[in-house]
Amino acid sequence: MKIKTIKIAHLYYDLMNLYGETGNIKALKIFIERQGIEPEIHFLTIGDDIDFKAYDFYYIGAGSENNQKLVLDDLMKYKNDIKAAIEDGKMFLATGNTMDLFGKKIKLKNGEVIPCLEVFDYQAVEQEKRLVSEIRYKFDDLLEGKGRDILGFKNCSCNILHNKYRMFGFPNNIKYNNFYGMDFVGPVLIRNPYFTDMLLKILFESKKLKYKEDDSSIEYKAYHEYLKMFNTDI
Amino acid sequence: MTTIYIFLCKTLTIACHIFGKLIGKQGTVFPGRVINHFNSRVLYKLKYPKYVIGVTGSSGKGSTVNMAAHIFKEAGLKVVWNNSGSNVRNGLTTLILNNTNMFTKKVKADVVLLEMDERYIDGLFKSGTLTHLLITNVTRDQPARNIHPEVIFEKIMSSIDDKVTLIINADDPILNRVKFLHKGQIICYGISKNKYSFTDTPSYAVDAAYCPKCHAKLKYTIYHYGHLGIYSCPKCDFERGKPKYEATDLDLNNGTFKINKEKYKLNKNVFFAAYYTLAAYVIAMEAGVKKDAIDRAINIDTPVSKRMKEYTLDGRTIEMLESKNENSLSYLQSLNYIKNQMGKKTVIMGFENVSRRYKFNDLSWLWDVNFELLNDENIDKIFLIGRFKYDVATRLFYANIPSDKLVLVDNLSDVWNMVKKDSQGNIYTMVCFDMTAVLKKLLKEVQDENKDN
Repeated sequence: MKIKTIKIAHLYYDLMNLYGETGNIKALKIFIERQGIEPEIHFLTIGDDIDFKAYDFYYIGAGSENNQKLVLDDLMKYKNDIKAAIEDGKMFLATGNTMDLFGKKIKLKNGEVIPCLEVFDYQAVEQEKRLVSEIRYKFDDLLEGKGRDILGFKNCSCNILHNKYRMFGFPNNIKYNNFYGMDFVGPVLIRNPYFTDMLLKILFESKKLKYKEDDSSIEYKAYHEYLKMFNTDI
Repeated sequence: MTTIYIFLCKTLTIACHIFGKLIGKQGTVFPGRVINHFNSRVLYKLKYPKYVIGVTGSSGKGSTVNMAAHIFKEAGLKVVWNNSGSNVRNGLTTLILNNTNMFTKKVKADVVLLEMDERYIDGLFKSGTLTHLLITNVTRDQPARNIHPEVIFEKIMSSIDDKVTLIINADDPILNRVKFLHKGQIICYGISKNKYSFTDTPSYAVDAAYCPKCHAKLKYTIYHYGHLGIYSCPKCDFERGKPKYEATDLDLNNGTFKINKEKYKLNKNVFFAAYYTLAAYVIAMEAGVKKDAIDRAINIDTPVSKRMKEYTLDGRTIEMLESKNENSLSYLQSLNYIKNQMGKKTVIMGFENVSRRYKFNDLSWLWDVNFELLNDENIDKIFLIGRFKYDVATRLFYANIPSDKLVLVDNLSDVWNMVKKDSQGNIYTMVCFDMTAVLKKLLKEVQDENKDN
């Protein structure tokens, strides 16, 4: 029997890579390989023709404010395709300030308003002071000790307002169909291996593939050790 | 009033010296803090020498200032410089006031040479005092406070005016944006293609990939490391260009390179020694130092690098490579150095805290470091220390390092005995300088124990 592959698009890999975002693509590769499947990973950016029907998983990471605007200009030409893909249940992971782009608009400190993709009704509002912090969220879709604590680092300039589809109970994170947006920068899928399992399980099942969970590898150990420190004095 | 402030600063410095132990390491910072509390513009009232030179950037500023100060001294000039390492506002205030005549208000120097933290240049001097500012590079460094390279660059540019002569490393396309922003004089330096050049980016951190002018993707003919290299825009005229001071013929085995076709020595056989030696040369040339004095300082009275000091354990050489957390290029330098060493090798790395300046422990930067360079059959073991050892081990697992080479050290005080017992070859530590201090202390304890036995 021919084994189906999983097609992953790392979008704007050369613009939206603030700190360690490539870790997320490495995580997807290894986690999928553990299921006996070799994923197909495509690195796409400005100038490439991005097909929003062809891939199973779309990832966009965090970037600088200038790069975020360059990416927005490029994404605008796919506005309808993106909306249709999200409505159709395609899996997206948008981390850091990429989430800003899927709302109605970004309001800058200087009063300027930048129209965005309008997939969602929320808006991003630039804050006087940058939002930098180590964060632990609680995610009710996962069990205690099995990923309910979501660990990460936030480093962005905007807050999200009027988000109807909150994830982790906070407006800066969104879950809608299979679109997941979170304010963390960096390798969230490495830091949160149970969350990665959850996403891939949904994806595999949608393709009628089995996904076997096994938390014996090093990422899970790192997660639990870090959590222990977070619970004490980090 | 200025006279009183200078007197107060000198008095406080003497007091700090005497009671130093009581107030910790604040000896060079505390007097400046007190003075700035009373009058933050006290440095505006002084008389400065012809050259007041600042050196800033994400990395290499300390090494550049050390080398440039050495050249100035060799040329017989009196140089006031921050060799104590304090590069923030209060430290610089202490330094300058302590070297100023109380009555004439004249800074007693031919040259003031300052390593400056990129966030604290703004408002330190009045317009026109800082004559030159050299910027080494702007790279990923301490994201919790520096955010990202573009923010650092904008901060530096908003801190200076057109009266300052900028000296920039043109290999860095972020810095090369000064061409559009700075109306004052700009002097460029850079390193040309050499045998250590890469044709593909050797790190994951691809900053400044696009043209700042027309937003087309920049084309690199070669990379040195990170986003430093030789680049041009395929659509417009933005390019690295030919710098006024260019280094060629880099040879790390012999520790030599050429600047504008003349041969010079490096005091350390690592790539970035070429950058800081070149930058120091440029500073000296632009400050009018005679060339024969510069040549003598670099080639004959070459300063001994601190880091070249070696330790041993059971006849095995230990080299301590300072590697700054949250700075992927600092780690890359250490990894490249280890890779280029011959024979069996053992590596020690890890950290107890990501930063000593703030409590955040962001680990994202580990994924920007090219740890794949440790895939070297001559590496016998890698000892992982500190409380984030499992996160580092995860990164190394993803770099395909065989797990039987990794040793996780639960109790730091055991590390040297474990290294002694379970590994072979020369030992390379690649940790932050506070962890280096801990390792040195533990090494001494192990060696003392051995003597007793």
